[in-house]
Amino acid sequence: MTTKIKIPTPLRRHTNGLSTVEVNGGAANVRGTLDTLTAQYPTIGERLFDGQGQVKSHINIFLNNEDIRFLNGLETNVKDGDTVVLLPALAGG
Amino acid sequence: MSFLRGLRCRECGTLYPVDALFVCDECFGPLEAHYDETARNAHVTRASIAQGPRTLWRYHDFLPSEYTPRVDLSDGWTPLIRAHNLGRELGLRNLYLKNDTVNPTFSFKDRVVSVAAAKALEFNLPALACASTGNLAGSVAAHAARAGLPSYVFIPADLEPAKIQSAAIYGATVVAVDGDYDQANRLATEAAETYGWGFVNINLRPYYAEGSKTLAYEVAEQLGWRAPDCVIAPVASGALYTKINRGFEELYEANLISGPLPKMIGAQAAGCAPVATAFGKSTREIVPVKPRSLAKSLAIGNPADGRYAIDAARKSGGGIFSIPENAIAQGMALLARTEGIFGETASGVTVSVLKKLADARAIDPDETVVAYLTGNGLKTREVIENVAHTRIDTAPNLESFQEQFEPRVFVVA
Repeated sequence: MTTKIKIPTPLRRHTNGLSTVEVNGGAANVRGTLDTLTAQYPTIGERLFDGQGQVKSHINIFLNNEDIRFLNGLETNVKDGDTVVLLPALAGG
Repeated sequence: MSFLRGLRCRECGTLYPVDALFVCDECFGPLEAHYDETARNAHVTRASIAQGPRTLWRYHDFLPSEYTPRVDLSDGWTPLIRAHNLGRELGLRNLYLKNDTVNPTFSFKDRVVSVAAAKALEFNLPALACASTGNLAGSVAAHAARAGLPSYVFIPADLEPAKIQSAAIYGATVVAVDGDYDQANRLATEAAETYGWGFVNINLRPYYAEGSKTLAYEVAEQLGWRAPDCVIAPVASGALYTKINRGFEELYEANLISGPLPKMIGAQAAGCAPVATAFGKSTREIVPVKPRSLAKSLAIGNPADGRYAIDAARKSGGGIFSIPENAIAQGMALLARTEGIFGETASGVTVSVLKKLADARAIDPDETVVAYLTGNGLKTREVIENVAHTRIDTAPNLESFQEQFEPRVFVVA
């Protein structure tokens, strides 16, 4: 199973400059997918999560076209070919 | 002159150079304009401001750009009107209306776009762009036209037709997104990373947001360099509301007004009220919602500055409140019938929240209150199609008119 993760510009220095990272393996949900990402690029983890394992407040995570807060949060299931998008929460208005 | 010295992360304080940046590399927090406030406060006086143009650029000392006539459509410096009739209706003896419906593209967005467009020229960006609930799209398109830049506006496809047309006429490329504002915004955020355009509310956001402070400066100057006791403004992303508050603080820090600073009241409609909901629950963590509101210009379900708006509400002794959806058109009609100002849905929300607080005696009748009317009603006519009114259908002769009219005037016994 392959899941794509889109990396925003400010985080690309943690992914060797990559704007998209493909994660392979059996991650069943968004949390597992991001854990796999962190295993590949260890410094990105502390940018995404606070000490309690919660997503930092200025980061929005989307599964395909939907904000995961409208789905099942980090526990939202992912399937083969899904795309996880990480974006800063600051734009708009 | 501009006293801008760089950008600074609102969360962790990391400093960045003046550039098209908007997010902190360290903590993902928002970047804000950072000024040499000591030098500015020593330099700026009421007289130095009075020498400036009769546009928002008279406050350029407080803005992140020099005065840039090439982008100025005569933005801002809109009327502050004493509202005797609406005040009588609401039981408020010192009510004023800041009428931003008469800006060049008929909303307060001209203030923020004027500043963002000046920075886009300074940074030599090839195009101006935005994600928009409508008002911003028109303003971006107009300022891009004046600055000689192409423009790209990302809007939800179901927006009011008048708002789409009033961006298209200036030559903008309209990107109609099959989704709500938050989804259009998300696409625009990805596009901003892909193309080198100046997205006014994304990569130019730290500069753009500063333009809203002029709503505070103008009100204070128009009141004779005095802060009102209380102001009320609509809340969408929370940026406008937060920056009005910051504007009054800056005038106080520069000794241009004395305290106390105004209580900040924020207004939302029930169909999209995530900030009012969080305020009511005494938390600053906003739970995003799917917007279902007639007030499309306020329909931001995931408000980026919501937490800062709540901070400003608490610190100032104000609050953020919502009204039911059916009060939107009622507020628009009340404003139009009492004061002759046709504000858009957001103004209907603002007037209705003000009425709710006045009816509940939550505002002292003698306080000086300023309500911000941020957009023109002609762009949101759909919501008032069924507004109750008197209509007489007649043939083109006096007899027919009298036949129809007089039974309504004289009570027939």
